[in-house]
Amino acid sequence: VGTVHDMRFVFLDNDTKLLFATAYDGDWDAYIDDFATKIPNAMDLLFCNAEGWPGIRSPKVKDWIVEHQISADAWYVASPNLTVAETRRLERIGKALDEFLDKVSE
Amino acid sequence: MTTQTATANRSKQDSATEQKIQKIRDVFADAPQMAKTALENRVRDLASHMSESRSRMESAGRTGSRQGTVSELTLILPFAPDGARRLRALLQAQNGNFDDADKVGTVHDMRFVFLDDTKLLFATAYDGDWDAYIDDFATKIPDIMDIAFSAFEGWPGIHSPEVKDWIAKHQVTAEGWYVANPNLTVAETRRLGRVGKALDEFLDKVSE
Repeated sequence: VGTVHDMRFVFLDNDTKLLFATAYDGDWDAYIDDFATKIPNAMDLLFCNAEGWPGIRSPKVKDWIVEHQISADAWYVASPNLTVAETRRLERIGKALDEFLDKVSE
Repeated sequence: MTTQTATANRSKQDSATEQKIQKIRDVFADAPQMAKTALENRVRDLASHMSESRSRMESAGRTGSRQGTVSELTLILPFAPDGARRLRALLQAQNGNFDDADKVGTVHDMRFVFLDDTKLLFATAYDGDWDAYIDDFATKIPDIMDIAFSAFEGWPGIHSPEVKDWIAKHQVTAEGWYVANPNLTVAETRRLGRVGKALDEFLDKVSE
């Protein structure tokens, strides 16, 4: 999907509920659309295990998700300006720079 | 002879994969049709994940899961009487400012979610081991810990020898844990941010 920083699946209260929590880049609507278009099968496999899941292709899927979402009252991110893509780009730059400096000092 | 052995090994692997696929199908036997269709589209990928020699998920130490350097900690904490009101007031006073977390230096992200005002969900992603992480909070920001966590039933105080047992008791380990950049600590990511900026400035200078 390319915009997901992290994601956790936690089983609660003797397997009666699931806590799903994720950190992602950008806007809610675009994020859900991304999952629906890029990994629809994985979504249906995971979420069909929750009561009332309408299916990722259903027009009701966004309402269903909103209904089960709880906004955080406080939310902290160490590097708020870095998207997943930008962080990966920086990782490659760091590696290239190290190789370059090694070469120069050879 | 060698070819025969290779062929025999391959067919052994194939039948092991088939067994794994059958196992997933059995678990989903009573699932909705939508899920079964999705499963058939995904079953080969799943079987190949299952036969990877090493799981990418490890333990974060005492409790919790880890991918690479990044660990997860999830707490569900019962509020003490009036605790929800106090914690909400505190978080509002912070006004989105978390200099304290910056000070700890190993926290990737952190959320506070009120559940029916009877419980708080606290979920965080951090670098390294469970014990070291809790020690960090205790030594670097003890006051903020006591202000925030005294909102909960039974909080023993950050300096109490029982504090780790109390935290571990309320922690629920994630069964699934994904991190986009499992090799990057918070510190390394910040360093790379500076490297990227310096490189951009350098390139601007060169092309002036």
